[in-house]
Amino acid sequence: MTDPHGSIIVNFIARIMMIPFIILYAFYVLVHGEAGPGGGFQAGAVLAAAVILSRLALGREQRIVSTGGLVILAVAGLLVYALTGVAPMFFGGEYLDYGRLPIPATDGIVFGRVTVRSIGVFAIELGVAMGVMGVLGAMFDYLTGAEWSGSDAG
Amino acid sequence: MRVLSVIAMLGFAGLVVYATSALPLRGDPDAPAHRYLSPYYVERSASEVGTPNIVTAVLGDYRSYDTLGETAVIFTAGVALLMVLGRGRKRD
Amino acid sequence: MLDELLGRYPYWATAVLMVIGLYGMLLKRSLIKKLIGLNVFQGAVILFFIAGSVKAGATVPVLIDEGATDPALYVNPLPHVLMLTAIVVSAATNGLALALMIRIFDGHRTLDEREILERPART
Repeated sequence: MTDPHGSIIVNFIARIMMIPFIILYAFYVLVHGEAGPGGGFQAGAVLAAAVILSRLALGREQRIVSTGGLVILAVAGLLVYALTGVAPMFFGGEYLDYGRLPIPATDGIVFGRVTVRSIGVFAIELGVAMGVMGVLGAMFDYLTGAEWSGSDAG
Repeated sequence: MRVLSVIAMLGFAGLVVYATSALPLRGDPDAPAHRYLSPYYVERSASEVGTPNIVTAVLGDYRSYDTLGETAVIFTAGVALLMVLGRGRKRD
Repeated sequence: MLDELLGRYPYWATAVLMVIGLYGMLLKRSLIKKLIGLNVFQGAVILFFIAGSVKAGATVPVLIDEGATDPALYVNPLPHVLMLTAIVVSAATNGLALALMIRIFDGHRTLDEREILERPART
């Protein structure tokens, strides 16, 4: 599982034709999650698919993030969520009460405006996406035994 | 034991079919589940949250504390997996 | 009669899927097959919730326009929210279950339930 596949066709299709577009699509799902179908959980799952494909097709050397990076990403995702919830408490709000955040609401493309609450919702969606991507990717690494040098991981 | 299991399975199927015979038909717009709480989300999410996607509005704002718990569950499952398969595992 | 059939077939499909899942969990001896049965059961519950959110003539719960907030226009968003998180949590807990199976295989050299119960783990 840790060795590259060795086929130039698999390598080319995965690296040039699939992984960049999967990642682009994941960011589309994440950013577009407030205006259409999508959101943090889905974007995290799609990003994890890109990570797993890079490990299956390209091997250790060309993986997108390392196992440690994925674990850090999972921790950071939960932290982003929790700290986004704490932030309004400094401005007189309650936990996760994004409306109190001192962000000026500007004009946008969705309904002609961007509300402060929707910015808060996007922040927690970002945290969820990071967390889901980190957990699912790290799970794949540990389950396939790519963390270790041996190959008999069950 | 196998006979008991098959009897339990068939009994469970009968229970589900019997219980769902009292539910409103699929697609009924006046079902009780559609009249309580969910109209509030549909009517108010645009003005209160400002996101067209009602699912995102409910997930990220009205029930964001619940979503925080779900994220914590996913994270905990990941940490538990790392503890089960991580350092200290016997090699043979 | 036809209304009854068209209005209740998702519930019957749920019952069939639940029985398939229970069959996997109760009668199969391999732990992997038990986990697959558990997942089929989980899928049945998710299908049940999503079938319960349907309204005739309604569309996906994404507002067409800022003013179009008639609840009859959109399906019930609440089951979608609950099942969205349930699916991701099930993926994460599946990973944990597979990790536990790897450890069981390390100790017992088998995933057969009967053999695991009969033979003590190798130390």
